[in-house]
Amino acid sequence: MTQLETIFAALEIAGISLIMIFLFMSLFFLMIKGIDKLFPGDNEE
Amino acid sequence: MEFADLFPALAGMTWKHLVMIFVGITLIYLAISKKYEPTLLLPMGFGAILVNIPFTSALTQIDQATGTEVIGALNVFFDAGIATEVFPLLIFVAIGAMIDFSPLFRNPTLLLFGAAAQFGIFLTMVLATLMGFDLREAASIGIIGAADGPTSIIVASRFAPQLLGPISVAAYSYMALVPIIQRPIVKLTTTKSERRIHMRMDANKKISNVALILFPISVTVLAGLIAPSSLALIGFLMFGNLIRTCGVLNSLSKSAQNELSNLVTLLLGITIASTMTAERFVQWETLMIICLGLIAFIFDTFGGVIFAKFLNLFRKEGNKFNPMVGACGISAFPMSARVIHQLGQEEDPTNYLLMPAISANVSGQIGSVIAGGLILTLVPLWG
Repeated sequence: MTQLETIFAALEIAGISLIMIFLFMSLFFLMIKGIDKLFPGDNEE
Repeated sequence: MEFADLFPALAGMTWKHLVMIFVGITLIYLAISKKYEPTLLLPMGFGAILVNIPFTSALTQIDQATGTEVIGALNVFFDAGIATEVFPLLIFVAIGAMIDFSPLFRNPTLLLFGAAAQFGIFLTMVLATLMGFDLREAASIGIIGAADGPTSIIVASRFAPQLLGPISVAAYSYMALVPIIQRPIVKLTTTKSERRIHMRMDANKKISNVALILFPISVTVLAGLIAPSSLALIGFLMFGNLIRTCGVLNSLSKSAQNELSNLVTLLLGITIASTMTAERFVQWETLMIICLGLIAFIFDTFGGVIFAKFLNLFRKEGNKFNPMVGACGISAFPMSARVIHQLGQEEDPTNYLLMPAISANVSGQIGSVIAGGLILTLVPLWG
């Protein structure tokens, strides 16, 4: 790989990774909301 | 009989060995006197001294008399625990057992800060390629910004084992320096009125045990389906958390948090030092890595704060985020949360930011592991 190709690869990985991390965290957000709705804490003894 | 035959270590000593012994002493000083991450820096410092005395039996050597290989203990530990990733994964079990995810359940929106504050990892990766490092080395350097020792060790040992020494030193040193690094960056990127924003929190909201049990299982399955290369990292962290939350394995949870954590940390530190030999460490590359690691931490903080300010554009007055809380999205738990809470108190003693800061900090622990998993998945696809 030439240096230019390496730089572009790094940029691509950076962009994809940042998007995917936000996607993951959004999915976890929905998951937490869903779990909390199904199993709310107030009903625990 | 020559001097070199009688005293091979003295005869073989070079200025690079002396530099490394000085580095080792400095790490020990920082660990004891300044209390900078002593659990790792002290073993690493002592290990650096151990491996930089020429012909040390702590490392594999060729016996001069017989020509046979004499295996060193640190090489055995390295092959068994670092090359196989077993040590950092066991540390993840211990860390998972220490994490309480209920702050996240009270403030799930703050999960997004755990994503934004990983910005420094990827910026640094790009900068490292501009400085001439290849893709795998650049990824290993960028992951210093995860502010997560085991993740840094796993990525570096897989992609750039020759850089494991400086990367580990940088990662753990900067984690200890979070209070010094984050303060000026947060002050530079926020205004006084922003630092005074109060955040409303439902601190009394009860979280059910079932929810806390389902969370680690769900995260593991979801992350594994999307990025199976990340499963070792995320799975072991969530396994440790499940041991804690299940309620029926209290003795295992306590052992994971204490005995397991202490034993593996003890071996991890001194074993990493086996890569801190003079030939590998005393190079311009090491200085570049130390500088790039600092840049990663700085831009993690910057990324979190700026993202919080961006979100505030869409939020009403009275419901805005304190942008400083964005800086807590790094994985340095709980130091980052304490720093931001203190900064908030300095501006307004009635502003209690510890709860949202802890929530963001916990999300950072998940974010850093996800970032590590994504790097492990994506980098091999490009080269």
